[in-house]
Amino acid sequence: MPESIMPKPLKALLQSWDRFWFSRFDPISVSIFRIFFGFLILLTFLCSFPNWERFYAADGIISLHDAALNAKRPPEDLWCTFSWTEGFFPIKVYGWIGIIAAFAFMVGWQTRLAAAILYVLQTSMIHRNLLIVNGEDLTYRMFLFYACFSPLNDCLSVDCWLKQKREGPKAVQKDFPSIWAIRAMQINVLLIYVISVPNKLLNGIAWRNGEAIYWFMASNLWGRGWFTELFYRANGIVSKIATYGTIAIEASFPILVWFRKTKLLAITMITLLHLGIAVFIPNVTFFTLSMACAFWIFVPAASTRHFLQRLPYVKECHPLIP
Amino acid sequence: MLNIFTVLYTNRPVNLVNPVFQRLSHSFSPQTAYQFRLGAWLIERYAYLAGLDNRWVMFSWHNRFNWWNVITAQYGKGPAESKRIVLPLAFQSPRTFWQQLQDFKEAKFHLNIYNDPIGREAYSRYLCRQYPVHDDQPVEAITFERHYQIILEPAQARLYKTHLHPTKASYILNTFPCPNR
Repeated sequence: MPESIMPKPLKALLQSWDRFWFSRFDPISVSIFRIFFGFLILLTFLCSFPNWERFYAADGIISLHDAALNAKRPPEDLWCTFSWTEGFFPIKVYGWIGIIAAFAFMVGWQTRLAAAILYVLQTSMIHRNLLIVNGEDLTYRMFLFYACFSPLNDCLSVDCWLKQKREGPKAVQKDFPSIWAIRAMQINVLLIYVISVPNKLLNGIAWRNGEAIYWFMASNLWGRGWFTELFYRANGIVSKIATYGTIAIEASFPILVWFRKTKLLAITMITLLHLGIAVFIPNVTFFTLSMACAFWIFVPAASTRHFLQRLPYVKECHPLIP
Repeated sequence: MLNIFTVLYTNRPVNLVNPVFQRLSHSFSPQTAYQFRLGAWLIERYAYLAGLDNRWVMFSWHNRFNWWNVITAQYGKGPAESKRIVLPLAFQSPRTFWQQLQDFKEAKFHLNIYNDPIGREAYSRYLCRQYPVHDDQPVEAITFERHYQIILEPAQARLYKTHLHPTKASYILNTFPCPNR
């Protein structure tokens, strides 16, 4: 339908849709996301490297040579690159590839290629051994999928620096990139809370009566055994505050993050929540820190620039603000 | 939009949606019903490949008891010669700082094999290969012992001034003989 005969409300809706999905944006904040997220993936690979053969080798926990374990192997070896090269080189080579790709991703060198390699590697790790899949494996895979389409190397990256050297300073002063891939990532992150909060309230009575945090702190799996008595003394008031506070922060974040006045407060609160989870709850550290990294994609570019204004390279990166 | 729809589809409340869908499919022709099932499979396949097939039900449920596995290996045959050794694994032996850093996947691994006898069998076979001999005795079997301890309700914890029941219990979960023994 030509725009000239379109009803005004429909025209306004389409324009809003276009602005929401395809406007140009200053990529400084998503570059910070890339640096933190890349560092986290690098750390994860370094920590898991000593166990690489145990987890993923042909003679590891899920042995490829044992027919009795066929039920434990995923049927689609096509999606596991480890099986393509089985017997050609040791599995630890993939560990090294992961470490190099994570470093390249972090510093922003051949960023999309590094993201694609990490995505394929992460998918292969999940397919190879489902028994050791943890929360961070799934969130890494999700973020890496979006990273393959996102302009994460437009700022604060080796790619950007090399482009400047090759084509001159004006090369990085061109149009800002389109936001569509980042929007998809943002909405996916928000959906996590939109889905998990009702699940918590419907399925977990402890979330409704304020005892959830007590059960976490008392658990040997999810608590460190620190100050457990704090969470049941005084009628469990500390547990109630922590439980209802968690629900309030997680439920309000998907809404408040879209308004300029409440955006930074919502991001700060949810980041502090996840950092608190990283400190108090073991075994989910990398998962919760990956979520904390992801909140950078919501931070307004102007705030990031203000925060980093002393760094000279930041001013050279996309200095034209639309 | 495809990704958003995929995430929403993966996290649909299955107890509500699936019965409705099954009822509706009875009023379709077999071909139409097949097309719907094919569409659902394609979405699930895309979710699986793109890494969007996670169900976000994090921490909805809580354990009301602490539990842990103790994995032991039996070396030597017969009551005179056999010895049961607690294997030097995460959560059941002293760990250095670097080992603790590397153990970040262990808790989820134990959670994943909690209700998975085939997973425990796979792990036992691996342990047979990793710890084949002790004091010149070959390994005969790997045993999984489940230990647990009840966590008291908050009101009980206030009364008894502790959050854990004093009694710890255990039982033998599985004993897997090592292959070629």
